[in-house]
Formats: sequence, C-alpha cells, structure tokens
Amino acid sequence: MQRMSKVLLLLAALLVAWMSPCPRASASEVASTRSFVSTYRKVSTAVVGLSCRRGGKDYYFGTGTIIDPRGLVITSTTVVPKGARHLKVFLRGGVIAAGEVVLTESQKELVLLRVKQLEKRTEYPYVKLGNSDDVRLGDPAFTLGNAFQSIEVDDQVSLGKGLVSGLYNLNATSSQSKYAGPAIETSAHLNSGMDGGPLLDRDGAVLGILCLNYSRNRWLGTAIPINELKSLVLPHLGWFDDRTESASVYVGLELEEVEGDDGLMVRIARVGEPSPASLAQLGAGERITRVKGARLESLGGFRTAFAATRPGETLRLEVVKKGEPRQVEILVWGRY
Amino acid sequence: MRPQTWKALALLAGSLLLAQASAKTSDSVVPDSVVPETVDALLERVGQWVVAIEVERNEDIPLPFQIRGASANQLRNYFKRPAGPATGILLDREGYVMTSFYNVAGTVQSMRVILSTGNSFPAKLIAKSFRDDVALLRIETNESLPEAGPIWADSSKSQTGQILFALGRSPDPDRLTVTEGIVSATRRNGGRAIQTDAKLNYGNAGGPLVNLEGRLVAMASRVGHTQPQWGLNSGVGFGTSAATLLAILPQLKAGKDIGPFRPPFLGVRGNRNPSGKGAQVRQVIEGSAAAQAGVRVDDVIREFNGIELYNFDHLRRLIFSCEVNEKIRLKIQRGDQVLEVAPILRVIPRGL
Amino acid sequence: MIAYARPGVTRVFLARRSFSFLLSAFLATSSALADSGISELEALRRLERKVVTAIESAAPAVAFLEGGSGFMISADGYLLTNAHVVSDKITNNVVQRPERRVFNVYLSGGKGFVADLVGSDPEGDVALLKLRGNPEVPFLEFGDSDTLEIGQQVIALGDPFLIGSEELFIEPAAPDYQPSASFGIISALHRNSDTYLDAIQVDVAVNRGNSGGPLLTLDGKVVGINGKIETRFQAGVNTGVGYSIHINQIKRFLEPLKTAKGGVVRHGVIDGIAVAKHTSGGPGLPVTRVKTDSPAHAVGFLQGDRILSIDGRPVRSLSRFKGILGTYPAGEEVLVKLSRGALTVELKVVLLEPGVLPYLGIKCDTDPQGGARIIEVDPNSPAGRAGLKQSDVIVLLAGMKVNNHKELDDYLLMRLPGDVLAVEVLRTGGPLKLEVRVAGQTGPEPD
Repeated sequence: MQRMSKVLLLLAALLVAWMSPCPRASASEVASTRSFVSTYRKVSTAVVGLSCRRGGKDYYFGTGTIIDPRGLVITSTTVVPKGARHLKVFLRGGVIAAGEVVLTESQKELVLLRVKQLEKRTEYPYVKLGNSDDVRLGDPAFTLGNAFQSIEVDDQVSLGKGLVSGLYNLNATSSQSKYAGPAIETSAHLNSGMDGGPLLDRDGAVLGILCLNYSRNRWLGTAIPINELKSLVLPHLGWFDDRTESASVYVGLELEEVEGDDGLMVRIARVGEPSPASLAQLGAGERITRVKGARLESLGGFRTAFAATRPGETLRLEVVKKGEPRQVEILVWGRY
Repeated sequence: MRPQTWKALALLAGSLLLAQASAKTSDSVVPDSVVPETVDALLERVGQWVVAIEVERNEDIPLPFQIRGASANQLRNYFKRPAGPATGILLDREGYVMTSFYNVAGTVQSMRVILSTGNSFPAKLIAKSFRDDVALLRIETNESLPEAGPIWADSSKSQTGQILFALGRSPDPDRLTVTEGIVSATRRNGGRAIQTDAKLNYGNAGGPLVNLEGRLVAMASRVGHTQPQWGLNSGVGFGTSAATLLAILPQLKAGKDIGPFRPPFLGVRGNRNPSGKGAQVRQVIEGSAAAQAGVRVDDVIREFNGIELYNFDHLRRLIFSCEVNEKIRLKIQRGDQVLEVAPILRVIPRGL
Repeated sequence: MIAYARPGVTRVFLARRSFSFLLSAFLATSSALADSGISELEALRRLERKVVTAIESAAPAVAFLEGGSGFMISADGYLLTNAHVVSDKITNNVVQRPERRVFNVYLSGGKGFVADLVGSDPEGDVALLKLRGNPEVPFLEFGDSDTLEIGQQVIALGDPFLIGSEELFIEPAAPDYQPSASFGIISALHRNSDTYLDAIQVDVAVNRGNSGGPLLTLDGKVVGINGKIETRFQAGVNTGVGYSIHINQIKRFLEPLKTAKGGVVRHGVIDGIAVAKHTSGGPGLPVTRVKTDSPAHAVGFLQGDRILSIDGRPVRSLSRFKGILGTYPAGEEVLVKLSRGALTVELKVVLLEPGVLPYLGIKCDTDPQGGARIIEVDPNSPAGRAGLKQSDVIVLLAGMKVNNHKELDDYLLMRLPGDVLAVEVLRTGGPLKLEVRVAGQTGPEPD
C-alpha cells in the first residue's frame, strides 16, 4: 500500500484504540450463561477420562485434555504416575482407546500422552492453550473432569464453575501432590478424579492443569499455570488445521532489512525463546541468505516463502554467520 | 485518491462512529467514582482495607470436640489451625482492625497487622464479642493511616439471593483472595448474622463479605475449629452483619467484652395440651421465674403475651424471642379456673 | 503488532501470519465494543435480581420436616421430599418400607401443619405427603428436566444442618424457619450414583438437612429434589458434588404415589433379560440372556438382540440401561428399539415389579486395593453355603475381573437364578477358588 494509506490506517487503529472504553471483560454473566453452556458443549468433547495401573494392584483414575488434533493429551503424574501400564483413555460416546506416554516431568507433575489411533479416527477435538500470565483475580474459571469417575461410568464430563480465587505460591506438599511453585487457585470445585484436568477461562482456553496440592489456609482447588508448562508442551504440539480461528504459524524470528555492501540483506534482529528458531540455535546478527533453496533478497521474499509454510513443516534456510554459511532446518510450530 | 486511500478513509470514519457509540453507552453507566464496573476494579478498591494479621501464640485453644475413628488423623489435620496469616478488616484511619475472634484466640504472644500497602505494624487486642465471634484490634502507631476503611452496606436492605464476595489475605499477605456466593439467609443467630454459600475457610475468616457495590455487608465469622459443624468451604458460612458490627463497635472500642449468649428461661417442662390447644406443664424448675410466679404442674398455658399457644414448642419459641429480665404475661387454665401470671424471665442457669 | 516505516530499516515481527492487520484490528475492536454494551458488574447485578426474585417466589413453598426439607407441589397441600427423610433407613440394594407415620411440617415463616404419608418410592428415594385439613398453601411449579443443560444456573432451597428449624444452632435461639438458599450450576446429567440411577449432578452447595428440598431453575420452577452428596477429607460436608433426582422421573410416579394409600410404589424392570456391560463393537447394548417363559421372552426379546433405545433415550451401557429404566414405576409401558441382525425391531414392554432377582447373600464394599470385600455373609444363602466368609475380597466372578462392589452388583444382575458361578477370592493365606449357585430372591412385598 501507499505510505499515505498506511499512515491513515495507523491513525484509524490508534484512534479506535484510544476512544473505546475497552472493558477487559466481555459479555454479561446472564448472557454468558448461554455462552458457557455452548462453550462447554464444545470443549467437553476434548476432555477425557484416564485410568491406569501400577504394580499389580494400584488403580489410578483421573482426567486429561486433548490439546492437538493428533490426540496429544495433557495430564498429571497424579493420574499417570511413572511406570504406569494399561493406560486407558475414555473418549466421548463410551469409546475407550489406549494411550501411550510421550513425556513425564515430575517436578511440574506434567504428563503428555498420545491417544493411540483408533481405526476410523484421524482427528481429535482439542482445546486451545490460554495465557496464564494474563489471568487476574476474580476472572471466571471452570473445572472439568472425571469427578468420581463420571466420565468412565456415565460418559459425563463434570463441570465446576467459579472464579480465579487466588494467585500464590504453593510450598508445602499434600499427601497426593508434591507440586511446589506458582498456582492458580479456583473456587470452582475440584474433586476426586478431576486432577490432571483443565482449568478453563470463559472462552474455553486452558489456564492451568488441576492439581491435588492446596493451601492449608484455603483448602480450595489449585491448578498449575499453563505457562509453567508451555516450554515442555509446545514442542510436542503438532500439525493442525490452519482454518481454525486464531491459528498462526510461529518460528520466533524478528528480522530486519539492512543495507549491505552488496545490496539489501535480511538479518536476524532477535530470536524468541523458546521457539523453533532458538531450538535451531539461530542467533541475532546472523544473516539469512536462502529460504527453501532460493536466494533471499528482501523481507518480502521471506514473507512470501513463510506464508506458504504450514505448522509441522520444516523450513530450510541458509544462514551466514561471520562469513560462514550453513544449512538450517527449522520445524515450524503451530501456535494459538 | 487511490482506492486504497478511500478504503482507509472509510474505515477510519467507521471506526470513529463506533468509538462514538461506545462512548455514549459508557456514559449511561454510573461513573467510576461511585460504583466499580468490573470485578477487577471492585477488588482493587475493596482490597485497600483488607489486612493480614500474623499471630504468634504460645498455645492454641483446644478442639471443643473429640475426634475418633478410622479417619481421625485426617480430621485432625483438617481441623488444625494452619500456619500463616489470618485476615482482618481495617475500619478507619485510627488503626482499628476487626477480625474473627477465632483468629486471635489462644495464648497470644504478639500480633502484627500487614496493610494492603505492605506496611506492617504491631497490634493489640482491645476487646472481643464471644456472641458474634468478633475481635477488635488496634494498630500501634502514632500517625493516622492513609488508608480509609470500608463503606458499610445497609443491613436492612439485605436480601436472600444477593451476590457477595468473600475476601482474604492469606496465605500471601501481598495478594488478595476472593470467593463468590449469595446471601443464603438473612437474620441468623438472633438476627445478628447473615448466612452465605460463598466458600469460607481459615484464609478468609475475619475478612469482609462485600456486595456488588463494594460495600461491607458482613464479616466472615464462625469459621474454624470452634465450629466444626459446617467444616470448610461447605457452602454454609456466616458473617456478622454490618448492623451488628456497627452496634457493638462502641462497646468494643471502650474495651468491654461481649459475652456468650445466655438465653432467657421460664422454667417449665411439658407437652402439648392433650385436650386441645396450649402447653401443658409437667414440671416446674425450682427457683425459676415460673416457680416464683406460681405456675403449677398440670397447668395449661393458653396464652403468652396475648398470643394463643398451639403447643409446647410454640411456647419455647416465644420464650426464646424474648429478652432476659423481660416481664411476660401468661394466661393459665387450672381446672375450671383461668389465671394470669407475670413472670420475669431469667438467664438460663448453667447445666440446663 | 505494529508496522511502521523508518528510513533504511524495516522491522517486522514475523511472529504471526494472520489476517491483514487492518481487518483484524477492526474486527477485534468492533467485537470489544459490541460486548462493552453492558459492564461485567452490571451483568452480575442483573443476575442478582433474577436470583433474588426466584428465591422470593419459591421460598414460601419450602417445607421443614424433621431432619430434612420438602416442598409443596399443589395448593391443596401435597408435598414432596426424599423417602430417606421420612423413613427410618434406606440401605443400598435393600428396600425398606417406611413406617406409616404422621409428620409435623412447618412452612417458611413457621406456620405448623400435620401431614400424612401418601406414598413412597424408596428405590427412587421419593416420598409424597399431604397436609391435613386441606389448607391453601403456596406451591412450586414443575419445570422440565429433559431440557436442562450442563452449565445452567440453579438454586437449591432447604435446611442444611437444620439451621432454620432447630433451636440449637450456634446458641439456643428461636428457630426462624427461614430456608437457606444456595446457587450454582448443573455439573452433569444422567449420573448413576449407587442409589440414584439417573441423577442431576450439581455444584450448588447442599448439605445434610437439604435432603428433600427443591432444585430450581432461575424461573423459580422445580427441576429436581436434592438428596445426596459426595464428601472429601472425611469432613462430611459439601465439596461441590451433589446429586438430585430429576423432576420428570418424579412426574411419572406422581399418580401411583397418590393412590398408594401410604404404601410403596415399585420401580419397573424388564423381567427376564440380562444385558452386557458395554456395547463394544457396534451400536446397541447386547442382550446376553433371555430366560425361557419370562415376561421378556413373552414380549419377544431374543438373545443377541442389541438394545438401541428405550423411549427414545439411547442406551450405550448397562449403567445407562439401568438409569433409564430406573425412572419408571412398575406398570408403565416403554418402547424398546433394538437391532436384530439387519432388522430394527420395536417392542412395547410393560415394566413389571422385579419378580425374582439373582441373589448371593452377601453385602460388600470396595477394598482399597481393588475388589469387592465381603462385610456380611448370610450363612443360609448361596454364598454362605459355598464357603464365602467375611473379609474375603472377591476379585473374579465367572471369569470377569471385579474392581469394586458396584461391579460385583452389576455382574450379578447379568446372571439368572440357577447359574453356577466360579468365584475367586483373596483370603489371608492366599487366593481361593469357589463355586456359588445363584439363588432367586423375590423383592419385598408391597403394602
């Protein structure tokens, strides 16, 4: 676009942003009765019951949440402890699938597992990860899960409704959970079998994973904030349908176009952390000379190549550092 | 002009119109200075007078009940006062702080009040009300505090179903906590308290229950191991009402404790009149108000202060609605005779 | 996300590739503006008004019974409560007929009445009473529990911890007969919780004393009777999971209750079939056995049939099969749709009182290590004769793994009297294999 149009656009955006009262919260409690009822209908399809055994006798049951269409499930070590076997995933409609653990991180009580492909199933319903850094005291919060085996026995994802009732650190442990660290407390109920399940915001995005530790002053349910877990989880999130809302592709590069001796160059200004670029060990100051084999001569060229990339694909770059060129492949992430 | 520029101008105009419309809508809402519009703003405003109280004690009060059985250990853990601060309400710039008496019970060595700003001061107990589970503290400082106290709600306007928030400053004094609920019943505990289903626990006992305008409706009390009946976060909780707090404040400020409730006592035992309405007397307690007024066994009390009695339970309810030292009128049927007596209700003797 | 121009350097965040900046900004702002029409707290105020109004209109119809709550359902004095509020006891799987009694009932505000038991449904935990003297009283209208949705807001009214009706609350006081109100949402539907087979699960606070009280939607109509809760920490108080019997089930029982003359109304069963636990491998719940000459045989069930639905309600598990049937009184006719090979068959089935139930003669609970632990054995029963003893933990029944006592009950219901079952138990000393012959037990006689 012409510069004049760009300036006008900028003015428009600034004006609108300045003049709108912008209340942080949207939609009324009364009105949103309907909207969480319908949000629940959608998100509950992605909440699953889990059960497993350890040793001959110990039977564990709890909740998990599907976070990508390939069936990646996030849950807790209190549901799927190390060494658990016969992992069962209870999906909607009474369907029982097998599960296999992808990752266990005991300090964060995090378990990622995958639903083993069922015969006809290629894609699973899933929920988005929210941003727990943005959470504020008093925000609506919802707990979902396998309360007293409601999913296993009755194919019902139990719902609890409340607020974000506290934000503090947990230091002592409970008999069932050793999680220590920042926690989101909720007045929504958390009962036996709901651990490992999601704490959702009003839009159905995951704010945290429900945890069995609690403050002795409060005796209320807590969740491990999702941002505490993202660096471990994001690398495992895979390909997803680009047409879903707010879908975007992420590499984690901030680039700049500079005048060089031999014309315009594209240089890395900053690398996001964590990101595909940081995992590929790219650094600021490095120059990108080729993308997908073709010479890179402007930011526009990079943009065009990037626009055609889908999450889960690899992006081939040639990068020059201190005169030394090298080939780099970045696994492009999908990101909410 | 280029088409892009037309587009941009059109969008700019559209945005301006929308912005204008929204500005109009926000004008019709009560201005910010009076009533908050978001939960966030309400909590920020109210949080200024919610304080944390750290109590050092040599010995805690004992559990008023026995814990036995298979789950004894778990229950002891549940009914144990946790480490960490309790919550209180800063009442005014003079440094008076109200909290639940439970929070400061026991053999207390020292107390410290931590304000919302983070400043902390030592504090002393001024007086307490056993009847309402309220304690009045005062911060020890020479200066008047910058923080103002709460805006009080009008207790006569309390209605069952109104929304409440229960606030606390525990476990972290720097961070407010909140649970939500409704007024479950008004005028409990002899009209001195409201009942709420907001979750109450050790962390918010002694803290405020506020309404949607951010006004103080009640102070969460009767939470803790002195009241095991309803446990923690059960959805049955109580708050001493604003009217009661304001009524007892002068006495507490003067350093005078308010004792436990001693109900009025007439001194008869009996049952429903077998031949119709009324309360039949089967026993008269020696030395009681009834005895002194001349009530006898087999008398049938037909009226109490002019009210016709259905049965004995009715009589008991009416007695409880009176005050100690109140003179009442009883109409009694004794055989064919009808008598009137006027006993003065006493305090219920210990042991009954 | 900002794009700006600076001579020489163009810096662009490549964090996002999404809609063009302008369009997204426009859409984002306009949606924020649309929502900002009413503020968050104004919305809560509107909700508050609705809740206050609903409670004001419904509270006068709430009743205080000894040890629990109830509510009026007609102007001439019928009232509903839980059977367990008016009976001496109800134990799992064993039905006890409540004593015929006269009850003292108080309405909100303290006006006292005397009421008679008109009829009870102990299996469903419902009882119908009627005030004597035909007084004119306020009453609640029935809602439609089939239209309830998870997430929907509800109100409970009642007398938790008998705060409103007892004289000793915190201190002696005149009971004020004010019902307690609590507010929450519907957490789940069609829950099978031991004795409640098709329950509404709610997170609204209900406690001991709330039993028999109404569950209301915001329009003030009653959609359930509150009766049961789960607890945590052994504290015996509400933790966010309560179960209510839904009103559409109760509606079906109303006429039989009114004519029960103080007696018991039984639930109906399809007499003479056993079904599988899960559908596994195809739609419909398989019928595993049809007893010869039973009513089910007479009406046309065949072994191998797959039950698709009962009265239009899909059947996907034994739990749901029991849950749906658990909402009908004996004598009602239901439409059973089933698939038989390539055909779809519809059967009109009159539900009957259970005649002969499979019976072992043991009472169990769940062993913490898994399995059904025997807590009582009737020495003259099949279990007693087979050598089963108290403290034995049943881990296998007829080749099926038993994880808890509920599973044992379910498996047993799939058998027919006369079957010989292989049972494996754990006993101090080691595991043991026994054989038990299932007997038949007739349910308790109606009045």
